[in-house]
Amino acid sequence: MAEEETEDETERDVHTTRRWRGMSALALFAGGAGVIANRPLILLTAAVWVGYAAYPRLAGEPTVDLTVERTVSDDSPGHEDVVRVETTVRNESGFLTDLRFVDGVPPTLSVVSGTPRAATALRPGGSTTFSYEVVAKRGRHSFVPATVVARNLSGSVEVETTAFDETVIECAADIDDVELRKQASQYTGRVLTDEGGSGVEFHGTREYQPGDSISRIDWKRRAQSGELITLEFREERSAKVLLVIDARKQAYVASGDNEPSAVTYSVFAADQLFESLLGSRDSVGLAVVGREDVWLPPSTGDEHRTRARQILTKSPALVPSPPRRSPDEEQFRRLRKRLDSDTQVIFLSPLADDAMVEKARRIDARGNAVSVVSPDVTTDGSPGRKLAQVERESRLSDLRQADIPVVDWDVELPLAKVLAHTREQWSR
Amino acid sequence: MTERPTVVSGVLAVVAGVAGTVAVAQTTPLRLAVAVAGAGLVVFTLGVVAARSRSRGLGILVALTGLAGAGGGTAYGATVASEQLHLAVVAPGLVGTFLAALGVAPLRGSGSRRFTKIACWLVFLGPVLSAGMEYGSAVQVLTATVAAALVWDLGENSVSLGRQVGRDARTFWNETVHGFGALLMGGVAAGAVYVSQGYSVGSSSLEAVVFLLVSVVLLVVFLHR
Amino acid sequence: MKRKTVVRIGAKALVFLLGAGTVAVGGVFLLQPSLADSFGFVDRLRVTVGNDYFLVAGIAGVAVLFGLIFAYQGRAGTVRQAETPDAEGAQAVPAPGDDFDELVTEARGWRSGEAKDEIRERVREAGVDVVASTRNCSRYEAENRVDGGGWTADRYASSFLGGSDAPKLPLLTRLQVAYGGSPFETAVERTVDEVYAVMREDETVREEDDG
Repeated sequence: MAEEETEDETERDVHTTRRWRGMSALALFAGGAGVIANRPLILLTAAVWVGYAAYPRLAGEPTVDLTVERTVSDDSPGHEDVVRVETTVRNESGFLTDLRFVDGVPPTLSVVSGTPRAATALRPGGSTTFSYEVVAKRGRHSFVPATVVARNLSGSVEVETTAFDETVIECAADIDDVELRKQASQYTGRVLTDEGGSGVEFHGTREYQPGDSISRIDWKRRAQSGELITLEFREERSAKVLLVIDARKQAYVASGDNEPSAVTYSVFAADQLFESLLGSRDSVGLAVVGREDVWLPPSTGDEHRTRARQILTKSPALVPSPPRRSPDEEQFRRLRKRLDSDTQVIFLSPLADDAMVEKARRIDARGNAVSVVSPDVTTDGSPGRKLAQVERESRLSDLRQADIPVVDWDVELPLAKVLAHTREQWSR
Repeated sequence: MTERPTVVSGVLAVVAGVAGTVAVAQTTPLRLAVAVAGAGLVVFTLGVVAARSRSRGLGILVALTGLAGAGGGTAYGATVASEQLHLAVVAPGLVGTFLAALGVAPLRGSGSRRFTKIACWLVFLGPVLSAGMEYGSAVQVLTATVAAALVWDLGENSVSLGRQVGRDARTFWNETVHGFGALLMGGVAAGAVYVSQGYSVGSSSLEAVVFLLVSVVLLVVFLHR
Repeated sequence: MKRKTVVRIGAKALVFLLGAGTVAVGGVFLLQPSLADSFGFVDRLRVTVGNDYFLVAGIAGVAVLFGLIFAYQGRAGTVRQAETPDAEGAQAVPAPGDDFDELVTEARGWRSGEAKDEIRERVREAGVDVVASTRNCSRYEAENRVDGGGWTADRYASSFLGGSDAPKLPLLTRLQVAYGGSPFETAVERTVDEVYAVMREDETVREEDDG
């Protein structure tokens, strides 16, 4: 509730547009010309211009009180699905003669048809509705405050403010995905309990025996081949896991102009992992290295989950625009200090530079079991981009050589599927 | 976002320029000629708008037709004008309207406030010259004056909306209400002037002229910001 | 601060009152010219100036002067309006490797020795890594291979990364690569392509092994 109140205290910027300034000059020219030419009619036209010079002062700053309502055709679409957004703006104050509205499209998504903008006049209680379409990308995408520009009738005073309506497009689940995610969550949770710091390691499968818990059955295999296979996990014990999101300047890279950055994908992965780990009663923490230090020590429970959600959706350290610089050395030092020796660490990073590899290896060497989930946003088309692919590949193999398990996540595929695939590879 | 001046206000700004110029044209044939030229400029505006959206070829064709109409109207006006001075009164208005068209239907870029402002000034010259030559009636001169103000107001609003919400956004009611406000303002001011000048008897005294001029200066200084 | 505002409003109000007053007086004179005759101030002014046209033209001149000032202050460029954000596109961030491409562009100039060295070093690093992992050899061995140029059949690539023993380009081309802009870019491009191809080739082989 307190959150909403701060949302209401939106910033207002009021300024004059000066668009009528030139009119007074015309009044004076007409006046002067009328007198010099001795033509009263010209002098009288000056009065019209005086009228237009007075016009901007007739109405002052408009009061703006708007409510915004948004409906999305699908709030949990698939990757690359087109989502239709319908925005309704309602005027809760007096007659608004001039309203210009730009919807707060999630900065991580792009509009493909229609326009998220409208300009209109609204009577008290009146509303306007417009719609447009965006392409969903994997991840959780929150709408940001919409930009509102209101003017008085003459347009001489402009009020700039914002209007907010909490709307989220969460692109995570298709049917296939849900099923896989369940397995992945069990898998992740249990396997991470494995002692000895070997990180994510899958124990194996065996034929179903009467008495095995149904939740342990590999339902996907069952659906595909009809076999009943039981997943075997290491001894169940709750683990302490820390998710570290790489949100340094170097991590703000994307595969294209209208693609979300790697940070968006990392945040999404963190969200999924957090949920599944918490679901398997592990204690999970969250840290961000980037614009600012974010630290949520490993814990459990609903309140903890809410706090993590807050960080993942609202933290200034995870906004879609890159920081100008980030004090990562300092942040890593603090991170190492805060880290208990029995906490496992999962790094989420595009591995766009060598720094993360080095940090992961150092923390792993200290005895904390480290694994890395790396969204792959590399692309080709130029020597630099190809080189970046090559370099990332070497970083992956560096990590693997240090026995740090890496999930190389092609972001075109659901994370759960990639986790499952990785599990199969590791289990061999 | 298609960052270009919005169509409704843009076209209306050009129409205002045409109306202001027609209002100060002295003879009926000249008025007809200016109206033809003005219609050509409106067509030109629509053509440029179309050419820069979906139908490029058709738009260019329409724009050229409009330009030909404007040229033809101007040429016709030059031949029917009984006095050179009649032409001098409408010439700034026609040039101004053409600039207004280029300002709100730019060949490239997002529209020009500068063109719109120059257009307003040129259209402003029409009634001043007309009244100076004692050609036009009070109604004609005042109408043209209000039209000059509308060229700026509508044209500028068109450019402004284009930059803030773009041409593709729905802007109709915004533009309508805004334009109506400026028209109403001009109507009231011009109406008041018309009514008051009806009461004046004979030639005005020096004292009246001095006081009115001083009052214009003082009020404008007060209002300027 | 506060006092200043009060004074300014006061001056404005005074101007307004004067303006309104003169409008009223002028209006009355316009409607009742006989009243104006009894008002001697303008007459006296006229005598001082010498001629009623001069008097009026003088005031008109002041009006036009103010007009010019206001016209300048009110020119089209002074109009302000709120900037609206780019809501349509996703927040633009670079693609991985764009920094390298920028570096290559920087290296176009004449005095770009440092940038060129940095580029060469970065490509070489990647090349050695790829050779080491694809040929299953140590880094030391990989470095030797890259030095010798044996890792590739492309002369641009071998010469670009290699030492003195590596297969070389013709002298003229080598000079162009060392000192020219676009020949250097060609060499970078071909070398990166070669390194990339070696990595990809290995990946395909591995995938086939997997499947």
